[in-house]
Amino acid sequence: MTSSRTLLGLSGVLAAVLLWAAGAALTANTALLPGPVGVAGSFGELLAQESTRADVVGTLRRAALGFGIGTAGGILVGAAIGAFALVRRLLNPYLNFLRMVAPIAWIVPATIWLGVGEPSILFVVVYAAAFPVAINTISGIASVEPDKLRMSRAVGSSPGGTFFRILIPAAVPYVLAGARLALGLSFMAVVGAEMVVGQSGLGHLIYSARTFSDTSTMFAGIVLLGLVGYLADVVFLTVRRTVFARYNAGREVG
Amino acid sequence: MSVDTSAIAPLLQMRAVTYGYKASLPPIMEDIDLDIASGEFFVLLGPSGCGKTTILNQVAGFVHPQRGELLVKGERITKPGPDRAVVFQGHDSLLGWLTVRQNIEFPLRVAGVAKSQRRRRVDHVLELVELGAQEAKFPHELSGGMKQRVQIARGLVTDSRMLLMDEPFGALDAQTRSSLQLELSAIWERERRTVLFITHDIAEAVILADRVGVMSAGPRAYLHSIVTIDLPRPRTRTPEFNALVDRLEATVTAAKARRPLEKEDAA
Repeated sequence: MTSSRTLLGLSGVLAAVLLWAAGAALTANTALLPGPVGVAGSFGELLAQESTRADVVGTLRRAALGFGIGTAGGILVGAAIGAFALVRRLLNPYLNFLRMVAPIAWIVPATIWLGVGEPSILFVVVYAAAFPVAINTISGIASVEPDKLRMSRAVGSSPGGTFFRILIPAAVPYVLAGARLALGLSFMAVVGAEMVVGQSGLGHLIYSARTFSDTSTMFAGIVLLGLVGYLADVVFLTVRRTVFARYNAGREVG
Repeated sequence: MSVDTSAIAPLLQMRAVTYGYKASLPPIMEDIDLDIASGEFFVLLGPSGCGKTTILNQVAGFVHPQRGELLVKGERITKPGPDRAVVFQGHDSLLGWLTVRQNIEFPLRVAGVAKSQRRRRVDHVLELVELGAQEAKFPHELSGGMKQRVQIARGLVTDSRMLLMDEPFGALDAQTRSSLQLELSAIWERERRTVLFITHDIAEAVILADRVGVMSAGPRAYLHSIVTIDLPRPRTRTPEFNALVDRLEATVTAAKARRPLEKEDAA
C-alpha cells in the first residue's frame, strides 16, 4: 500500500522532469529555460558553496522567527476575538480588511518605519503568519460544544479558567490547521521580502541570479527553496502528530 | 428504603417556579412547587417538551425562573456551583484531550485540591464506576456506556450535595442502559448523594427512584403528581414492580392530557 503510493508519487515527479526536459529541448535557449540536467549541475554548485548555507540558514531563521511571533500573536488576537463579544465587535472589521492586503505590500511602509533590513523582513513575515492563525483560532473557539462550557461553569470555573482550560485546548486542532497555512505563507513572505530588501537569503539568491542572467542558478535556487519549505512542512506535521497527539482525538492527521 | 422526607429540612426547594423564554408567550411551566430531601433519589418524568430539562437547568443555575425561586439548603440559586454536579445527556462535555483520569479529576483541579487528595478521590470513584482499567484512555477510545460512567464519576468526585442527571442513559442501547441503571442504583446506595434525575423512561424511573414526579404536558406545565417507589434495591421485575410501572403509565397518560388520575386509569 505505502510502497505503491511512494511509487506513484515518484512516477509523478519523473513525468514532470521529463516534460520539463522536453520543454527545455524545444526552447533550446538555456537563458530562457534551462533543462533539468543543467539545473541539477547548478544545484550541486549551490550546495557546494559556503554562502548557500548562510542563505538557507538566514531564510529559515527569518521564516521561523516570523512564524513563531505571528502564530503567537494570531492565537492571542483570535482567542480574544473568539471569546469576547466586545473585542469581536471592535476588531473584526480590521481583521477582515487587513487580511485581504497582501503581506508583501507592507514591505514599503515597513522600510520607511524600520529601515531597509531585518526588522522590515520580520514585520512582513509576522503579518503573513498571524492572519490564518487568528482566523482559524476564532473558528476553533466558535465550535467548542456548549456542554463543555456549561460543565466548566458547573464545576465552578472562573471565565479565565474556562478560557485556558476549555476554549484554548478545544481550539488546538483549528489553531494547528491555521499554523500549517501560516508556515507556508511565512516562506512566501520571507522570500518576497528578501528579494526586495534582503542582502542575503534564498530570495536574495534567486533575485541576484536573475540579475546576472544565471537562469540555471535561479531555477536551482527555486528548487532549493521548495525543498526547504517541504521539509519544514514535514517537521510541522510530525510535531502535530506526536507532541499534539492528544488534541487530535484519534483523527488521522497529516 | 425510601427517605423520610418530613424529618429533615429539604435540600432543594422550588417555590412557585415559572419559566418561559419570552414574557409575551405562555410560560413553559407554571407554579412548580417541589421539595427534594437530602439523600433522596428523585426522578422527574414527563413527555418531551414539558420542561423537565429546563427544571434541571434552573437547579444547575444555567437559567433563571421568570417568577418564583429555587433554594439549596435555604440559599437562593443564582449561578452554577460545584455543590450541584451535572451529568449531561450526550458526551460533548467530556474533554477529548484529557484521559479518563484527568477528565474525572477536572472539578478537583478547578477547586484547587491538593495532588495527593485528588489521586485518592479519583481512585475511589474509578473503582465505584469500574473504570480503573480505562483510566489512561481518551474519551474517543471508550464505548458510550463507559463515557457516561466517566461523567458519573466526575459528578461524584467532589463532595457536591446534588447530582443532576439529564437523561444520562437516553442515547445508549437497551442492554447497556439497564446495566448502568442497576450500577447507578448500587452506587447511590453506597454514596447516598441527592440525585435529581430526568427521564421519559417509566421503567427507568421505577428502577432508580425514591419518588417520581410526573410533569404534565406544556405549555404551562405543572407537577401533576408525585409517586413514591417503596421497593427494596436492587429492583427486579417483581409483580410489585410491574404494578408500579402500570400505575406510573396511567399517571403519565393522565398528565399528558392534563387531567387528574381517575379510578379507571389505574385499573
